[in-house]
Amino acid sequence: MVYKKNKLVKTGKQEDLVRLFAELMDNVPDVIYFKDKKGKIVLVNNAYAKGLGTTIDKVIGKTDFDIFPENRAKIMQKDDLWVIKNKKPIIDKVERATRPDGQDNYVTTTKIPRFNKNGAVIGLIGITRDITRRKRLEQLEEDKDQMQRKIQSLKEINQLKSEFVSIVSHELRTPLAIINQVVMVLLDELAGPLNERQKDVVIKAKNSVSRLSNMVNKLLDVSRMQRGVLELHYGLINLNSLLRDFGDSFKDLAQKKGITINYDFCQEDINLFCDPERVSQIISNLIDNAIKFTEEKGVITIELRKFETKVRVGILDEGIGIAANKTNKIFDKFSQVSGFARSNKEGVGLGLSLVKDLVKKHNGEIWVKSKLGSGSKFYFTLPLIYKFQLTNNEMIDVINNALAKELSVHLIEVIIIKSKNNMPDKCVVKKYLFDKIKKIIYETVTKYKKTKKMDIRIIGDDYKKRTISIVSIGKTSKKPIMFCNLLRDKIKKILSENITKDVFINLGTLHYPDKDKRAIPKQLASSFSIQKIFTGRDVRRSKRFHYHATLKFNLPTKGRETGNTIDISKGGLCFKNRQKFQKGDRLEVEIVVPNRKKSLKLVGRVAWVVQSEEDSKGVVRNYKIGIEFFELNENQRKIIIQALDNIAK
Amino acid sequence: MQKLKILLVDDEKDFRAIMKVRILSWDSVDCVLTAQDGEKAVDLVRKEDPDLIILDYMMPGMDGVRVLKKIRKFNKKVSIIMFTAYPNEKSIKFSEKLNVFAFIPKWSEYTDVEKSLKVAVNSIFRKINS
Repeated sequence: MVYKKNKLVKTGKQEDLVRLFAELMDNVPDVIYFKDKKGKIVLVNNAYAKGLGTTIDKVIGKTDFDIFPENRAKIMQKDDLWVIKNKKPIIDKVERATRPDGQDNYVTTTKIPRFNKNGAVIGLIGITRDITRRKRLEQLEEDKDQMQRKIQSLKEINQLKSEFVSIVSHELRTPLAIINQVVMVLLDELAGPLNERQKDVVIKAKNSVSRLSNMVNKLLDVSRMQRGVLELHYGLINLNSLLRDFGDSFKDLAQKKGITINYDFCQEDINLFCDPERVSQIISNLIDNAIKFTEEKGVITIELRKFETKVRVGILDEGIGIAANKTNKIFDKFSQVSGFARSNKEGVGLGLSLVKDLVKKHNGEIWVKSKLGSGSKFYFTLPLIYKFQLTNNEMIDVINNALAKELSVHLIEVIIIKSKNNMPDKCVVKKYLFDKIKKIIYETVTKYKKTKKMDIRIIGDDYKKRTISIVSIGKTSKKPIMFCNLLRDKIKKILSENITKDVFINLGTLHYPDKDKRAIPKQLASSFSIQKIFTGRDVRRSKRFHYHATLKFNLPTKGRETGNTIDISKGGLCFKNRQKFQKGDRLEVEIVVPNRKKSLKLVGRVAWVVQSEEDSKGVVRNYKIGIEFFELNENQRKIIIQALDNIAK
Repeated sequence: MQKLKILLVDDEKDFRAIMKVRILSWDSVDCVLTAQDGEKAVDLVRKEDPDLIILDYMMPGMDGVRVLKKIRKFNKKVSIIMFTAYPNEKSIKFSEKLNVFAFIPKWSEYTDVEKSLKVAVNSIFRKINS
């Protein structure tokens, strides 16, 4: 009724109305149909016909029973009859139909009664919309939610389990410690003398207590790992000594099986930052396994190799080996060797998984190379974070004490590299330069010690490795950072005064412990370079080089500024400046060249402007500006080339 | 040579008993008193004036730190050895203030607890007799 009162109807533009209706019926994707009271189709739209693979005229006059299978048509008829009898619509009824291929289709059906002028029902309008896709999405969402809830509850269960293991293990420790003491007291005959038989019996108890203690400790460690609360406590240790000590401690056990333990170490002593107790645990575990899985006789080799950024420890045995398809599972929890008759079946299979976790916590890698029957080679690496070889034991103690007290330890390495043809490692710095820098460092350290009350000392220097090493111990990293910056500026000054070629200075500070309490040292690298080589004619090629020439220029706004050029050639130059110039700006440029009395005055035009540096807040601090010289006469061109050639020396 | 009078404080009865046997076996030790909690410990320190106190960091009721603070109020000279897990910042800080001689882990796979304790006790023995 409302529609009939519509403006379009009133104006009587029937053709427009018909056209609109036709467009609706032709294009709407929903299935639309008109039925009479008896269920016969009066009119359908395109989508209806298409969906059934037929044409509109073929269905007019037919009923649902002519088109659809009987059971379905019956359902449709039921709804139709309801609508007609009750004179009420059915709106958005969701129906499901199974397709022949087994997939379910979902649709919503809307049936609205049609009335004549007198209010009697003469038929209905039906609209069916396919919502299969929507339904599918809804289902997926529900599945996803359910899955997430399951995951969450599993996580909670896992957490509870870890906590449970931890609590129980803790509770087990005290009685175990007591039993251990009791057994030791008995064996040491502090509670009275023991005869041989009694000793034998008590020793059996001692062995069991050891096994229990080991197991409890492992459980505790594993549960700490799982809960993410296992922390490394770093110290500086001599890895060679550690390996040797452990190797020696296993010698008796190995001898019982006729196994000898050999060492194959690299030449130099390695001082490593790691958690000594945990690394001991790793080594112990691996050696223990090596002995366990060698039936009798044979050699176990403890190997140590040093690489550029890491050390590698190898525990090589000549035992029974591991099957190829099991090598990647060997580090899994609870994995054990089956079918191997061992005199005492120890452990729950947590050892290697814990070892792997500990190695990973150090940022190292662990792997095994093995063949059934020919022994196994277990390797693990630990990062070599600190390169300077500390040989001074007193210094090592100082550092370890500081680490134990959880003070900040800052190691500052000044490494001076001279590069030839961009190959940093090929050249050695001249001794006089090294000594000069060394002197400055010593002076600065002494000064800082007094004035800033810093515990800062020089660890040593190595001319061959062009390194001077310093340590600073304190509560925060503020002072060491200030020191580093000061040092860097001073060294920069010496080098620029000496006009040496291509010297790089790398000032890296290692902090331990860092603010996040993660025992992984972060390297704060503040590196920069001072380079001064170019040739007049090859200038454009060597874009990276800085020039020891000062640039003065007149700003368009009538001011004067200085800057350092980055690149000069016959045709132009580029430089960095805070001010952003406009392309096309005219600049008067004065180039001051060392060893030349008269400066070079040129006129140029800004050819390009590029953003160069942003500070931490994202504010642009520097622009790189390229200037093209123009209006150069022959003489000026000659002078530029000459000047450039001069500086090249 | 003056042998040590030691006070051992721990809430586990059996631990106290067995450690007493062990400690008494050392040459540097004269006698071992025991206390099961902080209150009793403070009391015994006042009455008996021991040379060395060995106590646990974690105890129900008054924990090791509080016991220590209380004792230090009236006794600055007695040596203290504390059982603990890893040393951490808290323990280091107060060890300097309250003058703890040594921290020894109560359980450790890789260090011999007894040995560490014996070494510490002997050091104190030497210190007192120097």
